[in-house]
Amino acid sequence: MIRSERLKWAAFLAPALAVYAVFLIYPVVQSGVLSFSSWAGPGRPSIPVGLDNYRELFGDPIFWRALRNTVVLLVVSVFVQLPIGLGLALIVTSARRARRLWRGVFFIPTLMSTVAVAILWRFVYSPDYGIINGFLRGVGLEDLAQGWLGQTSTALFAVIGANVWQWAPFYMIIYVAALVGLDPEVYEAAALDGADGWQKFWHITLPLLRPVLFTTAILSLAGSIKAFDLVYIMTDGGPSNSTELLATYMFRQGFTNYRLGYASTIAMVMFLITFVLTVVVLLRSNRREAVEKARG
Amino acid sequence: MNGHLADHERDKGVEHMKAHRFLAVAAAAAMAVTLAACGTSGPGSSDGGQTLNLWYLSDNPTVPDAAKRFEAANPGWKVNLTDTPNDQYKTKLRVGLGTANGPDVFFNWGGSDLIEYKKSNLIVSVDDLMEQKKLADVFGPAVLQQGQVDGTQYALATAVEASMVWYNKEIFDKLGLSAPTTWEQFLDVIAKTKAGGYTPIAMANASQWPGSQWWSELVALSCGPDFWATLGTADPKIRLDDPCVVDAHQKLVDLVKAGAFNKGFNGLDYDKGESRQLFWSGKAAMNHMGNWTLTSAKEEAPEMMSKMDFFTVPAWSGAKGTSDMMTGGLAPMYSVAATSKSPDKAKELLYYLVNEDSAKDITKLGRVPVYKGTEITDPLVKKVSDAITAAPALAPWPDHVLEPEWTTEMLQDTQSLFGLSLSPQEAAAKMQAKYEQVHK
Repeated sequence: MIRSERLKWAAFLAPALAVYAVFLIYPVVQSGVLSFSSWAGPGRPSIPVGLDNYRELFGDPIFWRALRNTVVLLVVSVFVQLPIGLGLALIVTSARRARRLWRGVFFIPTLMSTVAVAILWRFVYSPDYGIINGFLRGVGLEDLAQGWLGQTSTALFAVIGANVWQWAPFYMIIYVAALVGLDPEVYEAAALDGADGWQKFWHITLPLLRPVLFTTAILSLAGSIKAFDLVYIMTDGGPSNSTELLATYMFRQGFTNYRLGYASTIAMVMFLITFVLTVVVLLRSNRREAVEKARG
Repeated sequence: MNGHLADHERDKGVEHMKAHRFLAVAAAAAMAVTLAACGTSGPGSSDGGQTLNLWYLSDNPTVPDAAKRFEAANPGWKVNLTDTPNDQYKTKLRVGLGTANGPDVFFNWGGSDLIEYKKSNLIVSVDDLMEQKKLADVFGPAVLQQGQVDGTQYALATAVEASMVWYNKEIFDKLGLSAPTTWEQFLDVIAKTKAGGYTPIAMANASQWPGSQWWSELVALSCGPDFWATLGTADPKIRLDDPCVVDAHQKLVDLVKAGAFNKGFNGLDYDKGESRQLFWSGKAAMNHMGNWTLTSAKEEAPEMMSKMDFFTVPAWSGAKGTSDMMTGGLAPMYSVAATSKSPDKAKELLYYLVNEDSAKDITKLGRVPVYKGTEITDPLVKKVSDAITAAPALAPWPDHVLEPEWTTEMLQDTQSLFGLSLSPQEAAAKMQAKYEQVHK
């Protein structure tokens, strides 16, 4: 009986596992192997180079720059983008009328394709024709008008701004779903105890949202580390590597320089960072849940 | 971004760009998968040896006609055409060449790529085709030489390209200016157009190669036409941190400091026409770009055909080169893949891509044919052709001499020079360091 149950599980799991193994696990393993070799592409020999790629990587200033930029993006994503998403969610759920309309309006950026978002924001930032410089000129702040994407001092934050604009509404929708599902009785009880709006948010909403906050944090972490498309289209990592991310640098090394081994080394570092961060966040959230359960 | 020659392809508009960006995004997202599954992108392989696969760049609509002429002359043979936009093509060729599904005849950029193909045994010599069709008589030695590796012919070209400064004649007339022939005059023209309320030179350098064209020309002017001759060899005569390179960098920085370019140019995209718009609309007086500007003008701003003219970047005292030398190379070039099951027929097809008929066709696009004696009717195309023919030297694009990895460094450093975030000396030192790293 038990054995046939197990066979059934296996039979149902096998197809998904097979796809997962072929398209996810195998490539990761192969990238791992490649990261210890030098390879210029199909038809060319793959030469084992031991730890050379890793040695070069840790002495490569552009890698560190890309890592730093990725960390900046990650921090902004988690500590600015998620709160904005939560704020939008609170505004939308507390709206007196036309809640659906507001939800739809705010959600539009996330529905747009990344290419469209990137091109739209390139127009917004355009030095000659852009709305930002147009506004600044219009209100007499002409001196502040600049080539936002064209100078190293502003390009990274310009790109991150567009990224926040695109993805904050995505998290808004997740938070809206969670907020709608919260038990109204808890709020009624709090109201009877005389809690004001801020206290309700701080002592009820946030703790109840914790599992969702962790999930969105993980999504946001992983999304930042593999962020590529928006930056690739808006600046291609430039000018002068000022918006280079780990993923754009990997692409440059792999598909512009044809150093597929070195690119795999960058990919492995990205994989490790994502893996470690995800495990840490998951463990923390599990431990907290366990602690809270024990407390009753 | 190597392969300047074909970059004008991108003028075709946002459509292509979107398509190739999407592909690039997909490629990166699934990089490991792509690597594992390489060689699945080509069309079906030939059955019975009666089909040939031809891969070419989508910027050249004359290719299908050439293929038809080949088919008409070779009954029973069919050509499978696969056209791809520029950047996408590079990746496609990288994973497809040398596989069973790869091309028989394919477009390439010659230079360092060709040497690499030869080293990896991916291409076959076309010396026998040269002999058979007496091609040494119809292509000049300089043209043939760019398709050779160690004296053996591996590629043949249809057209030649070079970069120059295009200017708006109406603006120059209005300000009483004429095309400069010395560096001082050039700076004067920049100052006067700026004073006249124009952007002196339109520039869009987010993708870095437009800036690298300046770099290539200024370095070739500063160090002389022989600069590149030995750089690709084991024993370079002039180093990349030579004072002549630093001097060229200084000239570049001088242009930026003189306010020669529009604001924020390092973030603007040539692919999206952000520099051409300024030039076409008359906001900018000049535009430094390849002769494919003619092809762009025909498509985007036909009225400019009668309003513009060009001059070559002038030399300064102390420069080893002269004002009439140019920087450029051949494109399109074609080679025969070593995996072709019918190499003789593939060579025949290659011949149809570069012969007199194809030369005539490509001239109509505003490009400059290399087949001797091809008639050119458009006066501006004729003028470009004459300038290239008369040039005492045609220095190659640097990415055609050196490796992609070094090219990336040069592109980044040049962009930093333009952004004034690297000094002339620092940029030269970085380029030399990367050169040594790649050549160790």
